[in-house]
Amino acid sequence: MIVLLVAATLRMAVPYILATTGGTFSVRVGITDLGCEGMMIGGAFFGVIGSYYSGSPWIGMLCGILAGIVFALLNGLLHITFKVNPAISGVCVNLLSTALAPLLLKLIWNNESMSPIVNNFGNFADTWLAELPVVGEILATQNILLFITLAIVLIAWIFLFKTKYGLRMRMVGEAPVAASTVGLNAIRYKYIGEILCGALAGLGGVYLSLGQLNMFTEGMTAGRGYICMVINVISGYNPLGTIAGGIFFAFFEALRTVIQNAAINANFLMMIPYIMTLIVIVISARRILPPAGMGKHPDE
Amino acid sequence: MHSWKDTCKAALKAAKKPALAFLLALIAGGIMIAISGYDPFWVYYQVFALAFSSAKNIASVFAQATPLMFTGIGYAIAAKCGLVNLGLEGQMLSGAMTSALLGAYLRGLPMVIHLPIAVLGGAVAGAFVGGLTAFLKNRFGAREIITTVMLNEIIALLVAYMCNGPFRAEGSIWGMTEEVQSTAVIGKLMDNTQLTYAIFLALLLGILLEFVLKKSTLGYKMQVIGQNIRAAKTAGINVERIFLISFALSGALAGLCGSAMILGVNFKFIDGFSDSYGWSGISVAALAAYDPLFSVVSAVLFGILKAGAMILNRTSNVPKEFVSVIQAFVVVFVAAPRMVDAITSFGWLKRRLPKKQADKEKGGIA
Repeated sequence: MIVLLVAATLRMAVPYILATTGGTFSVRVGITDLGCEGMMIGGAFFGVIGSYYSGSPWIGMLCGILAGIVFALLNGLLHITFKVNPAISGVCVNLLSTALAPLLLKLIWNNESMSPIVNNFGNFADTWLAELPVVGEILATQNILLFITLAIVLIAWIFLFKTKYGLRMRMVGEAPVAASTVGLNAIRYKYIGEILCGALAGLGGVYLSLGQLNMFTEGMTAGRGYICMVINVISGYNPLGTIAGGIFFAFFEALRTVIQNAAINANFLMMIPYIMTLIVIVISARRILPPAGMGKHPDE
Repeated sequence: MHSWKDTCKAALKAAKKPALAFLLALIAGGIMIAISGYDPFWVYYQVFALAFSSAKNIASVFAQATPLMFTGIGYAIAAKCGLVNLGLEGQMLSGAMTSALLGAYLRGLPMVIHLPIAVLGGAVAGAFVGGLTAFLKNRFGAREIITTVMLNEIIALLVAYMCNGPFRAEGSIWGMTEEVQSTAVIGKLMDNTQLTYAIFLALLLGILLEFVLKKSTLGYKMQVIGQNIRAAKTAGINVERIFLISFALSGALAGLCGSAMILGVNFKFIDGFSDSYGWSGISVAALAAYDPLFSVVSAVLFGILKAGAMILNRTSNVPKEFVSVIQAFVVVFVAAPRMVDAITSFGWLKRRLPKKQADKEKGGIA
């Protein structure tokens, strides 16, 4: 029971952690990460397309990441280049992505709600990892993306807080005008942050369709991109914090699937983490602040 | 005094940008339709022709437009004072659930009392959720982008719990509430269509809020805040109070959208009934340049696309999902006037032809 719960929690947490780490890059360069939802849908859908046509989940992963980047670039084009309000540009990305997926499902497979089954990332059930004592049972249901995710989070944290490029990136987010005055190409940093956000949110989407499942179903992201925006706040815009935040939400989601008890309504159970986080966010609203240059442009 | 000519000129000038954006969205959608292997001209012609081909189809256009009017006006009224209300979907759901419960469980009341109570209940529920967002913003400084998105999720889960749990209709296989009493049903304008009297309520509210915005002190204050919040604070406007009013109004409109759908069309709350009316409201209001009355017009425009595409989908294999993509493109182009300028100024063309341009200028000087 506990093993099941832990294993399910890990599986549910990966997409949250990936997309939120992406969102961290976006917020750190001063752009609201509202578009994560759309980038995740793009990643989930095009991941399946890639795997469908090539037969390899790895090609699918690349396609999903690329799709995430394309949607991120749209967000960047609208917000960074054409100075659209970041909330609206995020909404644009989400609207376009939620509209495109069902249309393409219809056009490619003539099906309104789901894709055919494709090759996905296999789990570790038949490998030596599953035979390890204690953790073997948990690892048996995981796949390679779990380790990739942990590596990404660590690299993201080192990059943001321990390298000069990360420092510059954060400076662009805090004070874009000052950053460009000292000679940084603030626009370029903003685009890089946005691209990283798209790539990671896209990868999060890929995990949903090729890691947890082996197909795309309409509405499969189920607002996870929005939750990532929220996790980002409670994790203090820090990649390492996203692990805790992701696991928190994933735990309740896992609980829902593990406890198949009719007396506890699944929808009611899922409200708990939302209400708790809402309270935390509201109370700490004046303490956990986003970068000061949020939504600001370097030439204003 | 303005002459009507000036008014017309001003209106035309104001309509130019949204019209251009709408056209660009249709072109972008047309390119996608062409790539998918259909003839875009034929598809667009069919959509617009079918939408007006019979009285029933025209009714269907306005039936599709009705929920969009409510959420469009709702988004516009918050946007006018610089607020981004992403919580329309949740506010709409809370209004829908409240109306469904009031409609089903209040018994023995005459229609003149029951129907207004059920409708108002929806508006109040939406206003409460909207007002809560403003309260959290004012009192705690919580950003409304985050709180609205969270409230959307919480309310979606709450109403799903309610219609699957305690309020589930007996013997239903899918989560839904009991049917509303006949005394709480909004009457149909035409038999066998989904067009109800709710459209008049939407129109009335559009006119009323337009009037409030343009002619009242409240509206003036809202516009000042929207244009320059610092100036508004300096001028002594109680910004927090206006935020609260504006968010509550916006939520009330979204709640009414839910009421209109439940009491006029579905007659019960069905789990997952929303065709993202809340999110569509953003497209509608954006096309109307966040003007309440123009939102009504732009909702009808989207109604034509939606109804036309649905009718076309019945007779041919052109997917109706194209409409949502076009709708998304509309927001993209409306939201980015600078991008539209960049596309339509033909700067890229001029750069290609530098010589001719230079020659012309020389000629001009000579």
